[in-house]
Amino acid sequence: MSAEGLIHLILWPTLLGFLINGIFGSKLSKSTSGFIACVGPILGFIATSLIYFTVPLLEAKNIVIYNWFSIGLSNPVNFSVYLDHLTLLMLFIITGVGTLIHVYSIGYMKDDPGFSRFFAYLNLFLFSMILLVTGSNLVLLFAGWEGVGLCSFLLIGFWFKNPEYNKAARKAFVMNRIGDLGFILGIFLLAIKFNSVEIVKIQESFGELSKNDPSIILITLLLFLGVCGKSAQIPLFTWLPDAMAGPTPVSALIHAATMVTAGIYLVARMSLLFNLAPFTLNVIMWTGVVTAIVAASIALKQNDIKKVLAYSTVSQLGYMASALGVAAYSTAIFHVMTHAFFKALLFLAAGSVIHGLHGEQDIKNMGGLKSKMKVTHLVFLIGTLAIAGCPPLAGFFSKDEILASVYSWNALGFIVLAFASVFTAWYMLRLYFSTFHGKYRGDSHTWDHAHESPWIILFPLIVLAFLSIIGGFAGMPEIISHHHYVKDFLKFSVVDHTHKVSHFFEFTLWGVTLVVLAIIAFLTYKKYTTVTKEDFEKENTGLSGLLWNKYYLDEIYAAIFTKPLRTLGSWFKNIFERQGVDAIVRIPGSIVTKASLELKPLQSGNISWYMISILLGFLAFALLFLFKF
Amino acid sequence: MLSIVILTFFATLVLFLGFSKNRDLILPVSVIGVALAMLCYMTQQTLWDEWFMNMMDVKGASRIFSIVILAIACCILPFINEFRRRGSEEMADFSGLLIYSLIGGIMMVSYKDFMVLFLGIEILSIAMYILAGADRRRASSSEASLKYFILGAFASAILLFGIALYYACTSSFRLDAEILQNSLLLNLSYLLIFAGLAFKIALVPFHFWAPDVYQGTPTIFTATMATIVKVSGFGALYQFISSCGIHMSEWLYWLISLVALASIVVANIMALQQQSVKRMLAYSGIAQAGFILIGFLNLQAENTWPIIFYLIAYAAASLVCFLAVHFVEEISFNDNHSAFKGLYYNNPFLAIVMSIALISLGGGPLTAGFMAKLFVLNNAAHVGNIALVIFALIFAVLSLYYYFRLINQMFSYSKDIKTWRIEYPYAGILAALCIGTIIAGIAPNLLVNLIK
Repeated sequence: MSAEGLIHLILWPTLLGFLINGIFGSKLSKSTSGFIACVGPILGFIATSLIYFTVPLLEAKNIVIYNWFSIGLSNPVNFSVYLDHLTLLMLFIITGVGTLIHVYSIGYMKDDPGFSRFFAYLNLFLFSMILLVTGSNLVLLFAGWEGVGLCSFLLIGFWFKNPEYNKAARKAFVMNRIGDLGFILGIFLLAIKFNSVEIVKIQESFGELSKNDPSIILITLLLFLGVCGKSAQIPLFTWLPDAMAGPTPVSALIHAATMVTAGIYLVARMSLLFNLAPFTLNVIMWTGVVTAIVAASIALKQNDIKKVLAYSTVSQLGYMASALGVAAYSTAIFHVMTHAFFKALLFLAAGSVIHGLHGEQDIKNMGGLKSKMKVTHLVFLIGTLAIAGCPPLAGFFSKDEILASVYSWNALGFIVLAFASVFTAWYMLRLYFSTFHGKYRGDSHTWDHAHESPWIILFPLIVLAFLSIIGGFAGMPEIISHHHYVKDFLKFSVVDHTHKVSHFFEFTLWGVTLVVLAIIAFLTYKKYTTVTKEDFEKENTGLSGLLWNKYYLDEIYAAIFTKPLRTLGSWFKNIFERQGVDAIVRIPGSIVTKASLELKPLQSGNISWYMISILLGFLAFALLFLFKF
Repeated sequence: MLSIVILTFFATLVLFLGFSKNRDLILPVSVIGVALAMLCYMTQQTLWDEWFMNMMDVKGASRIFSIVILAIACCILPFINEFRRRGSEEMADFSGLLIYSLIGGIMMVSYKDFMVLFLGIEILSIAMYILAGADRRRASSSEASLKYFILGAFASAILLFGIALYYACTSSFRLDAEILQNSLLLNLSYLLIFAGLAFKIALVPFHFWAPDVYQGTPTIFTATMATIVKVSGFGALYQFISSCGIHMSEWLYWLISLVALASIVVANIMALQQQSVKRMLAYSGIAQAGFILIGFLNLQAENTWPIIFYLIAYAAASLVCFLAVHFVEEISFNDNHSAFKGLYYNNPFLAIVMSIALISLGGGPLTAGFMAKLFVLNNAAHVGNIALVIFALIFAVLSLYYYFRLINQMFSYSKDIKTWRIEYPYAGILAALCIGTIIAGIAPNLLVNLIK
């Protein structure tokens, strides 16, 4: 089959699944609606693989599905798909991880009354995400961007009866809107400047622009604001930890593996544009570096198993952003891929733990679960080692590459990132040991009922664990292999500007990594296998208290933005609106209503009056003609 | 011309079927007849065209107008079965008359000679006068019929006067007659013909009949009036302006702008306070006609499609609205706002399709109505009539008030819930129209390419 045909197989089944589950969901049995939901991502994955194996994509394909509308711009805005290697890689991640998480969800959500609603949202999310990575113009990309935002909002607040969860959903929505404002302004400016919203057309017209052109800097900064919102960078990252209120598969799919990497994808997609703005690249790198260290340090002291993973996600997104900032786009995408594997794995394994403990999420009440959940324990260990950067697991190669790229650009950024990866190893091993080793600290009733999850949950975990082990080999550094698959794969899609680092540096980095990892493993083993409940509570004092309270960022935001805005809002509502706007708005309203009532008698039902008015109207036109012409 | 012959044959056949006791055949036969006629247009059949001595033209826009009219008829015909449930014996008459009226409609949209236009208008109108009085048990139906007849005759007289003056100036009834001089008399004849057509379309200030007649007429035939008659009227206006418009360019521009503006302003204001939903929809139809008229400002051959797009969007939405009103009337015996309270809890399907249709009429995004307004106003903006565009937009926003008032009413909770449903074939037609509305709103170019 041709790519033109296969692309339909990727796009539409998820939308169809959403419609079926959304409209008839309540009438379907749980197994049918779960099956229907899984069809979409599986078909998508098969079609993506077929494209990969049968279609030589030496140059990007632009497949127009239909003309959408053509107003205002010189070229019509098409509903069209842009198919190149970057899109293909993202499609692999989305449909592959998506399939696994759909299968997992069937087991995880089986007792939930909103089963079909959950799958409807999940399919809609996949559709929007696919739209986002395949859209050939920024309007379509933005449609997907907003679609995933909407689904994220719906799924965070999935258990909408809990007001806390609704609050978290609202927070995510608002924070994303701030970013989206920047993004859409950026699109408008691009459309004005290049008279087109097609990504290819925009990239073609770069030739005449000089580096650091002020308009380009403005546009890229605005786009990056959008990235900050979606990919949870400082200062817009606080929504992501709260987003963990949603069901765990959602956290794994949307808030770790796919949606939050949309921002990274956007920058990589527009890499030619960003290469023209070194200033913006610097901003991106430093934002990424600071995000990485701040989030990693907060994660050190969190006790909620999902919160730790959430902050870890923010921190890893910081790594990706800093790779973008040093124009190592393919490295960032490589990390997106490996991160999708091991972070989805960690979230799903955490979900398996939560499932086994009947909803318990606090590590204070865990410990010693190794004996109860053998498979979960093993895959969690693999995930932990992968994210901590233990060779030769997936995270090691991608993170190593980011560190090397940043080092070649800016040594200070490298040092900060290195510290962040020490923190990463620490909080992950702390999480691992206090969950699976030592003595159980919760109540005995839960312990007696603690159980390993069913196979439908374990199967995706095993697949992801396997991918976390081998995923890194797709991008081995030069000193091991001359073949960097990911870089070679993406070389037509993104334009990297990286400097090489010396082999000596690489080797030193590896050696230090191994030694530090070993030391941290030893220290955390000592500390967290014998830890007690009281120890956890004692931790929250002094500097640790600062971390435990997330640098009081939520409180600071509340004091700086929310409170003044609320006060301003209530002033507007009570005084400005009631006595100002309302009064003014009511005047035309009342005029129109009055006019409506006054004119009503004209329609009297009296035929002779109707005839006279027709004649009068006709006469008026005739007179107009006589006097004017 | 084959299609007119087919329609005549089937309409007569349906009338004869009325003699038989078995009424099951009537609906299939009439739908087949209309579908066959539509097929003639689809396949661009030219058999027997020479019989009419070039007084009619079935190419280009006329063809599309005819297809639209026949498609609307296909949607309405099945609903005539509703009369059977009421025990009315005249089902065959109604179906037959509706098909006869289509002949008039087709003649109106494809005339090249004013004689054919006049014949077409009369064929369409006389059928409509009778259908307006279809419900003989209700005095209001008879009143509507009589009112429509008297005012319609008055308008026909105006039109005929215009045609007579045209003949006096050119010694021909043909649209493409040679104009010897652009005299005052000729312009007066144009104005009279325009007024006659504006009456059929119901444009301000020739609109007074519409609310009264719409309200009294049985709702299924109100749907016919609001769609088939309006599309035919616009088709006739299109033929008239596209061939005579060149002789009166500038003041025609003013005339159209003024009438469009007056229709949008007056009808939207009047619609605000209506208690009867049918009256409200009548005014809404007048306002929509004003919008469509804006499309005539920039009337070159390549710019016909916004008008037709708007007509299709309007016809689909108002069909759904009127047919939904019909079912509500069946339950609560009136069409007041209060009858729609809590409709969502009694019949969720009907409430949802009607909401979609109302949103489309109001020009809400993701519906055909939005795209239609966008295209038409874009057209007006191109000829530089920004003031008209701004006024139209203000009143389009105002119109949202009365559309959403009704939607709000349907979704507000009412205590007495008695669920009821409509039969599947009817529901299928309504759902298809709504889905079409949404598809045309998301992917307008699909429909635009079809029209082109």
